[in-house]
Amino acid sequence: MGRLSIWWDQAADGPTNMAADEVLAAEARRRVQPVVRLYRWDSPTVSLGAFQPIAEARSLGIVPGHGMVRRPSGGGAIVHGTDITYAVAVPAGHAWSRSPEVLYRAVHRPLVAELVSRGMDARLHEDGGSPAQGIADAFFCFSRRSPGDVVVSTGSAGDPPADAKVLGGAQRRQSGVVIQHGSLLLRSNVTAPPAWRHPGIGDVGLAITDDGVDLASAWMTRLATALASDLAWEAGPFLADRGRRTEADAALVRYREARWCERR
Amino acid sequence: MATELRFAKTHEWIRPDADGLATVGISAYAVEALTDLVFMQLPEVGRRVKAGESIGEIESVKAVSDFYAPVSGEVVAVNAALPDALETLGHDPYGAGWIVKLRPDDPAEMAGLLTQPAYDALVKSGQH
Repeated sequence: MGRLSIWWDQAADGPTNMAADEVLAAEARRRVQPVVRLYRWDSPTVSLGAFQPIAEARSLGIVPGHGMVRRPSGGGAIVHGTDITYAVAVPAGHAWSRSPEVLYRAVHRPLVAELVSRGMDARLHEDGGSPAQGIADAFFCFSRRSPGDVVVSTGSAGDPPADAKVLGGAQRRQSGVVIQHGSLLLRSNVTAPPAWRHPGIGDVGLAITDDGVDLASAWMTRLATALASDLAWEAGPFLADRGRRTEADAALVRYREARWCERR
Repeated sequence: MATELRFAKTHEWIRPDADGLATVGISAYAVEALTDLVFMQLPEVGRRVKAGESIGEIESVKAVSDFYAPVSGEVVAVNAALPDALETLGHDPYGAGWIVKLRPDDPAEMAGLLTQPAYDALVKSGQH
């Protein structure tokens, strides 16, 4: 039986979180098995997809160096602060690494099962991408729909839409490893400008704890079962390990550079 | 398909040209697996690269993939029209969908890459 190692990590700033996820990818290569990091953000942060134009971010009031970081993964911008973020790293050769769709479904389907068990009308989005209605809709991850996203029925019809996307993901596929980022939106971020807000799982009928730990833990248990692996909650902050910290330091410099944030 | 193609395990192909250069692209399998390409970043002409080094990125719907130099050398040309016509990668991945031209440091390095049958077997095995 395999082993699915998971770190429930401490909150950190954007560059530290992205650097830690690069080291997580290296950890998956070393262990030759999937590894997961769950984390929060120590202050409200917008993460941009790898190639989202900085000019569009600026037009929406998102400013580099002030709660903004660019991810190595693709996809749309995410307003962090009321979500639980995950990074799962999968080594090449593992069944989950074979295509983008396989990994999205593998990680997101267990959350759907957990939400359904709690009485939610939840499912994976199966259709193609949804058309954007404006620059903000095109820019933010939670305004888009892609196959493999988790959506739930809100119980309302028409406008606003009857479905809410509560979990989205994005990937970086490199030689030897795939890293997938995802964000489970717990609640709408009421401190963000209105155009940046989206309803979270706690806003559409699910009773959850403020930190969402119970939901995330149940999700990870189901993920390990789907992988036929033992679930291993790893102790301590992920970067407490001296070797990992050293690896992260070089990446941290890059994620803090304006050149990275403004690469497109 | 031309038999002189060689492949890296990371899905790039390389073909020696008559002028001593080598043309590089990504395989039809890789293009199909990526699906719905939306953006591509090419390397700078003149850049020196080592075999296995990332030389560019391709974004598809919700996945960014690196592509790698199959051999060491210097980037001497890029297909500058490709980022504005990404559908070319799907239509003609081994022709008009070429990505870069390299001047290999050691042309013999190509012999260490996979032949077409070996690459096909790798793809079929799923161990990539």
